Amino acid sequence: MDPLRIGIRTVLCYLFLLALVRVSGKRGVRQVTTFDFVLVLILGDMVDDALWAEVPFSQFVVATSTLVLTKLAMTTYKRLGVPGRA
Amino acid sequence: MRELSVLGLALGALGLIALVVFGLHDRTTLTSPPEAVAEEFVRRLAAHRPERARDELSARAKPVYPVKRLSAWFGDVESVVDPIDRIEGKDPGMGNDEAWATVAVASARRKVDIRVSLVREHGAWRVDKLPGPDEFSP
Repeated sequence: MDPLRIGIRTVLCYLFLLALVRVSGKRGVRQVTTFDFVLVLILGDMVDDALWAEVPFSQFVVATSTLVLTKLAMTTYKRLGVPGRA
Repeated sequence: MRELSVLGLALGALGLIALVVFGLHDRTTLTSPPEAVAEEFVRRLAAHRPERARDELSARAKPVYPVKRLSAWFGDVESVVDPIDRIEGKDPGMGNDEAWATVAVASARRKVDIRVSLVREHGAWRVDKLPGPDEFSP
């Protein structure tokens, strides 16, 4: 596969993930939970597919954003408190 | 608020991708190139998932290759190369909205090259024509 295109995709993945991590609010590894680590592994597999163009870049964007959005929604839900719990 | 930021970022990125793919006619960088699509198609068949492989077919090819016919076609490949050790897409070529690529399917002892034709549909490459068993090159 063309090395130039692999390079372009790598830079784009890097920039998109950097932006995604910044806007999702993570600032340091002290905040990382065990489940965050699992999410990082899943994200790593998604990056692999995008770098080797096994999936179109749009699918990478949709999948990673959905994963991070779900994580943020769960965090917000927990912060607001689970109904029915003391 | 953070959720909205992530959503905005994703929508912005998708907009940019659409601009590059449809506006600038990108065919290999932000979309999967022909050899990657052809390789993925054969991988799905090798995993005995012809229903998923059909997702990679063009609108014109879907009625031509129902699940049974696809399975039979890949059965011809497996009759030459079995067990399959390696699948690799290579040698892509491109016209305007047409492309071709070779998928090498190999076992420890034998190898066949399958030449696949593809067409561009909605910004993505799709498998359009498959060679007959007599067209597999060793």
